[in-house]
Amino acid sequence: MSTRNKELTLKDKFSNTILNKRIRLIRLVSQLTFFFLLNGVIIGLSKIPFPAPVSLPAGSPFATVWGGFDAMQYILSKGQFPFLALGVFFITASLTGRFACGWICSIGLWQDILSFFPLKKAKLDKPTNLGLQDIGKIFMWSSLLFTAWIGTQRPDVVDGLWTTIPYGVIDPAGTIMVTWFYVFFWDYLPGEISLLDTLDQLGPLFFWKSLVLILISFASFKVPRFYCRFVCPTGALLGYVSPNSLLTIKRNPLKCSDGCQKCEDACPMGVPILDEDPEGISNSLCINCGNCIDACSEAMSFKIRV
Amino acid sequence: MKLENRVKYISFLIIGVLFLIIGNTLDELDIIKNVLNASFDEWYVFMLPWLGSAEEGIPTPW
Repeated sequence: MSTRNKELTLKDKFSNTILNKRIRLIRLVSQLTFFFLLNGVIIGLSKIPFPAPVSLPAGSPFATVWGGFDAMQYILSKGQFPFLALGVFFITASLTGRFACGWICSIGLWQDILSFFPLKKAKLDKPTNLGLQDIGKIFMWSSLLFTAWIGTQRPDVVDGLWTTIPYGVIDPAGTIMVTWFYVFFWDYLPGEISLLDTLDQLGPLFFWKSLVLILISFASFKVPRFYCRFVCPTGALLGYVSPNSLLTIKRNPLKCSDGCQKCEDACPMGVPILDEDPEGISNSLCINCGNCIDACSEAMSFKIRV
Repeated sequence: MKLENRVKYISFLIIGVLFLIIGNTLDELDIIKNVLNASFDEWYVFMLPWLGSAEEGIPTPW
C-alpha cells in the first residue's frame, strides 16, 4: 500500500513538474531545435547568407547563418553601413523584444544548462543588476565604432580578427563553435599540423579566449544568464528597442498577494517585475522567456501590445 | 498600453523595413555571401586570421 502511495506521489510530482514548467519545457525544445537549425551544416543543411539576431560566431564551420552583430562589424569594416543587419535587429526587437535571446540563442541554452546545477544562486540587488548592463553596451559601441573607423582606413588594412570582427576576441560563442572546434578537430582539417602545433600557433589568443569562456561559464553557475545580462553586445543592441516591443509580459496586480515575489525570483535576468508597468514589461533585460508565467500563471501572461 | 510604446515600436519597425530594403539594394548580403559560400578548405583559410601564427603571435590590424 505504502509503495503504491509512493508511486502515486512520484507520478504526481512528475506531473506537477511538467505542468509547472510547461513554458520552460517548450522553450527547451525550441532552443534545441534552433541549435540544430543555426548549426544546420551538422545535419546537412545549406548555408544561407543572412544575419540572425542571435549570438552566433562568424566563421563557424557548421553555422547556417551569421550572427547579426558579427555581420554588422564585418560589413562596417568593409566600409559600408550595415543597413540590412541593423534592419533585422530593429524588426525582430520591435516585434518580439529579446525573444531570440530566450528561445533561440545557443549561448542562452548553454547558460540555461549551466544554471540547472543545484548551486545556490547569487541574487544581485537591482542597482547592480541595472548598472552592470552597461558592460554589454560598452562592448557593442566600442566594437562598432572601431570597425567603422577601420572601414574608413581601407584599402590600407589587413583583414584579421582584430580588424573585421574585434568582438571575436572575447565572444564565448566563437570560442566554443570556432576556436575550440579548430583546435580539437585540427587533425581532421587539411594539412599535416598536430594539436601541439596548433596550440603553439594560437598562442596567447587561445588561452585568453578559453579563460573568458571559462570565467563566463563559472559566473553563469552562480548568476543565471550572466553573459546575456551583462556582457552580450547582441543583447545590448536588442535591448535598445525591446522595451517597446509588440510582444511583452503583463501582470495582473489583483492576483498578487502581499510580499509574494515568485515572478521576480523565477526571472533568470533579474528583471524587477513588480516595479514594472503591470500592463507590459518595458525593461531591456526581459527576454520574454516566460519563466515568470510558469512561476505564477494566475497573475502573469504573455501579451501583444496592439 | 502607453502611446509612446506603440509609436516607438512602429517607428522601429518602419525603420527596420526601410533598412532591409536599402541593405538589399546595396547588395549587402554579397559581402557575407562571399564567405558563406566558401567550401570547407576555404573556411580553414578564412579562419587563419582568427588563429594567428607562431611568428606574429596575436594578429594585429596593422
